[in-house]
Amino acid sequence: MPKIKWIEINGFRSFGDGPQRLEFGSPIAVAWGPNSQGKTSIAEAFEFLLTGIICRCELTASVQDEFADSLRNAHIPDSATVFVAACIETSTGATHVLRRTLIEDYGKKNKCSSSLTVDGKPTNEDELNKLGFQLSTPPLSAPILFQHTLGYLFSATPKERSMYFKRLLEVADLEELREAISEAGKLIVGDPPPPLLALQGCISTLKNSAKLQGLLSSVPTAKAISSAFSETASDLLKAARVQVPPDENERYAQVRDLLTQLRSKTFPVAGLTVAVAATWSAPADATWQDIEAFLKKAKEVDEETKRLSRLLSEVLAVPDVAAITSPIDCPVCATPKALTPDRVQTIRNRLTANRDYDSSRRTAESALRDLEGMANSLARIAKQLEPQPIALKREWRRKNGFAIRKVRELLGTSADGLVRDWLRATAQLLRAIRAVKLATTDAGNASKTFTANLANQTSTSLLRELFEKCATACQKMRDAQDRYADSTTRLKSELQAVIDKQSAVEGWENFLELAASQAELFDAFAERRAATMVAYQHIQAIKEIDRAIECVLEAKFSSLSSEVGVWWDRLRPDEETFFYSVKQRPKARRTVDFKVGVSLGPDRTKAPLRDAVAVFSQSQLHCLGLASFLARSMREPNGFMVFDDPVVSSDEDYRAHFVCTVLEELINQGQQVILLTQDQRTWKDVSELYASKDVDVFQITRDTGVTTVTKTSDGLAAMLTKAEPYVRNEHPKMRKRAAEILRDALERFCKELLVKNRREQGEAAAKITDYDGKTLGDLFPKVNPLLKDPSHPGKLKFMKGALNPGKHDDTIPSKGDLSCALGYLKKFRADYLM
Amino acid sequence: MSTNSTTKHAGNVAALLATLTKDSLAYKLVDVANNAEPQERAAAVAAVLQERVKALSKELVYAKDQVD
Repeated sequence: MPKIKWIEINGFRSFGDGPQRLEFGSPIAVAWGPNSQGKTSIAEAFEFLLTGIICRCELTASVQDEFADSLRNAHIPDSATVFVAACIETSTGATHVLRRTLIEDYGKKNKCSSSLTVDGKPTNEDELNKLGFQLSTPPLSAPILFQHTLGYLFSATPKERSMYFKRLLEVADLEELREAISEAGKLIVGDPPPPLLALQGCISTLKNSAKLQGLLSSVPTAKAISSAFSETASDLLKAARVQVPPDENERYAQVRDLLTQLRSKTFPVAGLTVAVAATWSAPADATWQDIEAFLKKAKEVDEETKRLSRLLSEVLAVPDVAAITSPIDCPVCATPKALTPDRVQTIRNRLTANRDYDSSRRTAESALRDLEGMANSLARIAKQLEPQPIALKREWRRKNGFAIRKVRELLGTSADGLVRDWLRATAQLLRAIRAVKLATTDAGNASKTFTANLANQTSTSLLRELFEKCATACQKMRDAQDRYADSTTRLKSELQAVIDKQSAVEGWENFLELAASQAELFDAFAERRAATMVAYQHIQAIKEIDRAIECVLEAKFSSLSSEVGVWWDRLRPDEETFFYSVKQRPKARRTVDFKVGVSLGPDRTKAPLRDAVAVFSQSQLHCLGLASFLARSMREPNGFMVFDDPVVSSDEDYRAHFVCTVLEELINQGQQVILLTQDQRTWKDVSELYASKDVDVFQITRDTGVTTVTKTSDGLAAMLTKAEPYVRNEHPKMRKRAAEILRDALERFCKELLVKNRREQGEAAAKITDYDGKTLGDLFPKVNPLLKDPSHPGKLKFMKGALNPGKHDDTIPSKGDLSCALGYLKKFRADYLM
Repeated sequence: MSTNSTTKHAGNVAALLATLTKDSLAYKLVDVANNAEPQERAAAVAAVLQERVKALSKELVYAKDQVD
């Protein structure tokens, strides 16, 4: 646990520009100052150093701007830095210097900001944890008790008090966890699944939907869904005076037919069907390579062989020719004995050399047929993509009443834009189709011509160009088709609603779609049911979590109650009215009550319980606040506590127990106590009672608006300071007084040195008062062995001789002797005691 | 959250979980929320609930198939 060795304050609150340092050498320090001298500024300096805030702002400021510019002393120059620094000693004995510098003061709308360093290195609050500080949840983080912290407990609203204790007991994190879990419930309650939304839409528009309506009240079985749809179909058909088929699927087919008929009477919406055509790709590279390979081969083969290759092949195919061993008549020209075995061999060689020619030609012819087929295929696709009203011909349109005028009549003027878009898209598609048709005609014809004169072709470039035109035209047609499909869908959708309304078939389409997807509908019902069940389970889980948090809190309250009770009994022993517990009110999570026992005697077991706020006096409430602070601080010991006027000065018994019992207990439990008080008696009592512990005593004063702290417990330093003006004075009486003070200082030095030595030897209980009544003659033999410099025993002896007359009213020491003695004592103090 | 607060939080959550039944939904939700980053807690818990909805939904559909 860290201990504070010193704290330095500059420009903070009532402190001026110029650091004020308070040094602590004892486990207990007491500082006294009248009201408005800066006690609370010191306490808040500790708090600011550790937390970067002052909790008074958090707890009591009803509006933020009340604390604007409150941390920086209003009278210091703008250039002055506002900081609080402290040297701490950790449990391992290491020392560190913490320093927090104010960057920006509290503003009208903003909180203050500051920077923290440890040993000069920038750091954050986590570093304080590593040094052993255990800070609680803000705003009551630091182990510092203020008057406003005491009063806050009882003046706070129930909600504020509840939050105070939840922070104190560190369960606000569980509340946050619970809120996040609760929030998640909202995330799973969304819109119903799409099939259920469609069913709701269908029911709201469809007449005769009573059977479907019944499905919404619970989770229906698959059979119930099937039955509801089948019966609804039956009702629709009966209402239209159509015979109802017994088979369910036939009924839906019948409803579909009826729907088409009824719609057609209003408008032939079938004319707005968008065709879906097969895909088409431009000729592959392999196709062109086959043709071009033949053209290359053709160049290599001589014209005579090309011309005669088929004839010669047929000649060789004659068995008598292939097997001749002597000249025979030529089977082609009938020249006698013209075909010799040598000539046959020559023919055979030529044909063998050129045998790839025919094969290549066949491949090329096949590729050309493919090209022609592709041109035809694209032409067919273009035909398929013709807009339906065009494809269905004028007779159909006239007969069925498909006219733009009619569309405009049905949709009204508000749909003019939609109709215009559709007409534009239709025209664009028609132009694109026409372009494709022209391109495919050219490409197809060119392919045929190319094939017919294949042997004489030298290049495919013209053919390639024509097929590239086909590909380009095809892409443009696709784009136009997409636009046409989009505008047609929008137009059809608008038109469909009007047609359905005029045809009295609203909701039929939805009904038929749902009837065809009953399995999905059942799944949607199951999903909704599951979501409802999980939502219920979630609510139950939240209730369980609430109960569990209450249990955790109750256990903490119970433990805290015991600890508060112990401190209460130390502060107010033997009182009949006693603190009983602090706990949450049953079934009211946001209310925390302090219960007290109202007893008539020492037996507390049967004491009636009452609320502290109602029964306790103001003094008792303060005491309870103090007991709560002590209990909390000892749960998370920081090694030190700062009290800013914890006791009402008029409450004598309570004050005495605090000074005698509580402070001693805290010191015994290893706490460093820093007590700031306006009560002079408390100051004096603590100074005397804890003198054996070398209590650090300070006095706080305020001059021209700036707080000054003086340490009054350093006896030797105070004596030397006190002697200084007398030493410099020429007047004999003054010099005599100087000699008296310096002689006391010499005795004090000897005693402090002896005590220091004994403590260093492990005698922790050694104290100044052990040497009460001892003279310099008694002390010197003990002190001399402790002096490090051989000249020092002589100097001690000189001082004794020079200062002795003062005490015994002999000759008054000279100014020079006094100056020397003062100088020696200052040096001895620095060499041996600091 | 500081180291100290983290330790206290861990202690609080452990006490809370000890109070809840281990195979309960409440236990699972606290566990999931606690293991998520503070700003992602609600989403993490919602994901668990959604999974539960899906599983339950499948069970109901399976029950239908069995009946069919």
